[in-house]
Amino acid sequence: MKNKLMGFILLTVLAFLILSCDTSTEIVQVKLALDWYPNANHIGLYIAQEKGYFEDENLEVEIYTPSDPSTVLQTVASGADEFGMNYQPDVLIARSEGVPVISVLGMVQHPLNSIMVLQSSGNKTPKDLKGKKVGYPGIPWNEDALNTMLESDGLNGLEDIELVNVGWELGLSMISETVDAIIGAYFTHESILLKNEGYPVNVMRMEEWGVPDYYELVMVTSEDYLSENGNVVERFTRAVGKGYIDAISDPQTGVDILKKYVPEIDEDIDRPGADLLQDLWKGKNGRFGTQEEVRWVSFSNWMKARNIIDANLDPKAAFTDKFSTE
Amino acid sequence: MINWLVKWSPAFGIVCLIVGAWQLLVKIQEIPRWLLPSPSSVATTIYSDHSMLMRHTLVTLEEIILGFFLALAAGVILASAICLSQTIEKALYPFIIASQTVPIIVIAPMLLVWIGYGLAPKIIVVALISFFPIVVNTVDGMKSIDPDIQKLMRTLGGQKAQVFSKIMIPSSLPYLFSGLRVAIAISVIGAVIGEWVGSSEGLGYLMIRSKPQFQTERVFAAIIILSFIGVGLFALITYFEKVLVPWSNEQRN
Repeated sequence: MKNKLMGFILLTVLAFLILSCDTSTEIVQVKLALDWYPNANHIGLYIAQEKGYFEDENLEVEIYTPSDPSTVLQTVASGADEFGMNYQPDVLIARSEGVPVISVLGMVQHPLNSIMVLQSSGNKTPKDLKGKKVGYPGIPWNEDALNTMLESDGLNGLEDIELVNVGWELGLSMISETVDAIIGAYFTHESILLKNEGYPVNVMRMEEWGVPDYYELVMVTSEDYLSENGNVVERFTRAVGKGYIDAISDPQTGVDILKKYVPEIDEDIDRPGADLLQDLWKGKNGRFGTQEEVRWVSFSNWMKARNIIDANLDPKAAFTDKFSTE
Repeated sequence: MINWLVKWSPAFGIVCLIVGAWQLLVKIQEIPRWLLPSPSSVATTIYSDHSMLMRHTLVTLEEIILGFFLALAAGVILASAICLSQTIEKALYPFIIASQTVPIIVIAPMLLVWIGYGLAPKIIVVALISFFPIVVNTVDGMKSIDPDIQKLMRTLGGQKAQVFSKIMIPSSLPYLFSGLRVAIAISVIGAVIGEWVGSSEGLGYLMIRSKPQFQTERVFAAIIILSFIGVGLFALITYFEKVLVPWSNEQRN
């Protein structure tokens, strides 16, 4: 009798152990730190939340905006957040400083950060900025991008203009005529905002003026999390991919969903913004999230040539392309 | 000097304790430098980058001092006006208090757009933050005088202006200095906020620039310099108080 009871207890414990080992049936809670306040860039995430794509993967995802988005890579690397949205250049700078983050999805396939000038100024290309004041958000590598853009149009770089750190009042500093041009603003957001305010702008895109094409937004996780919870990363990226595939086919419904979760968004900016992003979300061969080695290498070569990152940094270790979605 | 060291030995003790524990924690836990740099690496940064740090320190110091004097002038004028006229008090005091509920971090970027990106907006932010304790303390000081003395002086034929200069001002000075000490400590924050939202030099600028580059040692170096500035200016004001208002201590006691 005693033996039978022991056997029963053992069996129960064994069964419990087997069940609890099967991690895919267990709900995993993860946190996703956004790069900025929720906007058109994030609609795929909210679609995945709304349509239960995360739920289907047994994930409970908390999407939040950190009070200081410049800390996203640190909180992800330290494990405080499992996932974060950030920028390819910043991922390379972080890795160069020993912050162990890795990009698992190329969210936006091209630079959004660009130079903007008021259409009324008549300026069209970087060389028109000679002798002008250019406002930027104080981010060091933006100076290098501006320098390259000016050089690519025949100027001598930053010495030909006056650089003004205007913090985050980019648009306001231009329409108040404190500066003649700005860099550091997105052509899928600030340009629409300015147009809505009655100040249409000309956009000079980085990859058209000498800066190597890069991924404006990427999804990052830490090296540790990827190696220990590869299965969770796979499920998470699959759900995000599904959300963005929906966003690509119907961005406006995506904005409806975003609006439901974040009522304070400005639809007049995010609706046209989502339409512009539709094509920028499409990766190579119509996939979502693809990242090409050649682009990581060429962008990091540019950063190395400008001494922004360590010359020995291996850009191939900074990303993985195995999570992109058909 | 020895006396001074003995007097402040508790503070040195606490600093040593905190720095020691911090160094030990970073070493034992192997905390990566981009998360929390060790005190020794911050010290190394202060040493190796000292000329750059010095350049930015001077800019911030200039903003603090100019802003502080602007606050001092505005604060004393407002306090005098409030004490001399009940109408002015009723008209202005609510707004002075309300001014402190305006979030500086929201106003600062707008100031930059309104008046440009030079030194001026930083000085204004410093002054906006630090004039309040000066006004409040000075008003309290001027109102703290014994009404009997005031009556006596009026009975003996003293004019209102004489009462003000001979009684109100001297008795308000200890209070003014209390306000100044609070003001100088928070004016350091004001200068950093002013630089944070848009600048091209100063310790606040250096911090906001170093942060996205994960140069955390430099951020901490700037923080340490700022605390030294705060403590140093505070001590300076206490020294001036002793020299200029020797009756301060006995009055307070």
